[in-house]
Amino acid sequence: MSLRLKGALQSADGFRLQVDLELPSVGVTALIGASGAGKSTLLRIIAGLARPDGFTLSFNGQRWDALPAHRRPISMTLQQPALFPHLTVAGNLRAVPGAKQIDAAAARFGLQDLLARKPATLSGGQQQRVALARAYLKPALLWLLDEPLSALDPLARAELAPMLRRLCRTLNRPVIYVTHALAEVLQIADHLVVMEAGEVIGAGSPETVAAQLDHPLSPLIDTGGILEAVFEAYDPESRLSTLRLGAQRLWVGGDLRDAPSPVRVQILARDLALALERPAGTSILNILAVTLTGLAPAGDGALFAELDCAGQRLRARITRPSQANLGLKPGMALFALVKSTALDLHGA
Amino acid sequence: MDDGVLTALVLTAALAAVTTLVLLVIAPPLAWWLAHSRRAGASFVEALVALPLVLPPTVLGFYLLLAMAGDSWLGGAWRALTGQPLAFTFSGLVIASILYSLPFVSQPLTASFRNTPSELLDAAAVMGVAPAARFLRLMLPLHWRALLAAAVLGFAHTVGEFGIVLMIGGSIPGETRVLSILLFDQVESLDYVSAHLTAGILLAVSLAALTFTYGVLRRR
Repeated sequence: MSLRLKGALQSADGFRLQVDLELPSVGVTALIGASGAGKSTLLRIIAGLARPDGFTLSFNGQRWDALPAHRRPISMTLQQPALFPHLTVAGNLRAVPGAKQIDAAAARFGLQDLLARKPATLSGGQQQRVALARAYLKPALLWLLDEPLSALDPLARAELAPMLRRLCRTLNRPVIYVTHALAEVLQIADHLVVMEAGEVIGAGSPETVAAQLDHPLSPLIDTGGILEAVFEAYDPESRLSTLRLGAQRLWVGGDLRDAPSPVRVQILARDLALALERPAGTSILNILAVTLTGLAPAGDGALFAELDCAGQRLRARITRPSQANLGLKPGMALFALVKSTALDLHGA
Repeated sequence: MDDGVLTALVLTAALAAVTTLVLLVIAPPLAWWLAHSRRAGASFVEALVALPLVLPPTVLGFYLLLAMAGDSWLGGAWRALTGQPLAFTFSGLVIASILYSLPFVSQPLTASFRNTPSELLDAAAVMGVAPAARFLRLMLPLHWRALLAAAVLGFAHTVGEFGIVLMIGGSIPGETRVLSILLFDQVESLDYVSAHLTAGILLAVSLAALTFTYGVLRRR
């Protein structure tokens, strides 16, 4: 039970894509990478919107190469909502061949009051909801979401993100979710595939991939690690959620009451600072007791301090003078500091 | 209005209507193909379709006259099929008008089809809509303005054709004497009073059609 994709292509403008991938056909697979990494091209090949020579694609043992896009059992949303401007919302939904229970789908995506409207009169978030409902109406074995939040303003993104998370969790269909923002998929991804310059540079569970990656200059994966923590409480006044990490506490921005457990918190290596003693009189809320397990060059003159935090791996990016000042050696007990605002999961 | 003008008016309207209807069937698929084909032959076909825009109507009329002659393949086949000749008949005029007005219908359609946002075509494909249904059920309604404008232009241009009708239709009342030919006959016989009426009708129809077309295309 899996999706297998293998092949290579070289476009006229020098872009090269080479993949040999096997994706699980359950759960949410996040396909992540900077723009131009080839992730949308990959998704278009899976959808059949691009059918370059030299690619083989099979889903659960069935070859899809010869199937044109309209015959593949997929539901897909594109980067743009791509609604037909001459049709109403209802018309756009009815345009899906064999669409049944349009009212139920409209209700699910909160479109009941918009059915008679034309797309031009809708907000970006509303348009994207219509696009999701349209995809939902097509019977499919596989869902493909191409940067579903990237065309939206931050407000619409915050509104749509929880709906999208719920959708992914309740579809009971494998989902391939393309994004350039790890935070967007961190809470829902069961599987992570990282692409760079047309190649897959990491694949596996989010925790393993975050630990594997060693590309200090890419902000996308300058990840210090992903911590798994348990939600404890949300304070509406400060808009902070409290998480438990073993005996320690973590404060992060955003309402995580409906997030699946455990909550995954991505920490960028550059957002982590180290101290020899627990600092007093600081505005920083998150002070984690850690053990230094090793030091590794970050490739740009800086160092990665490899840390163990209650059994979970973390990585802090520090300068060589800092290392000398603190006299850092493997085995030392340290405190890792990170601002709550660096851990804002709001809209994620 | 004397009988001659009325007969010519009805004949002209019938010719333009039949021509436009046939073109509305032929031109949209052709224009879609021209808008999206990447084949080398597409430019040649596009040039062929556009020829009536630049050729003197008499050139087209000359070749059509040869093709419609009783001993030619087209004229012969038509006679075998219907028992009627093609040259100097209404049917012959319809065929000539279709060729002559084709670019006026296909060009606005091709231009509009070329502007179809590619994500709409992608969306239709991943929605599971088959190519033929994509074109008929989604693309034609999407481009309704261009279709309307193309139909009006095709109609008006057929009303206004002269040289080609003269070459292959002559001036047979009730069969091939359309308004533009009638006007020519009226002027030749120095009947300026009738000529004013005929010319006035043609002017009014053309101006109204163009105003309507530009109005439709402006409201986006």
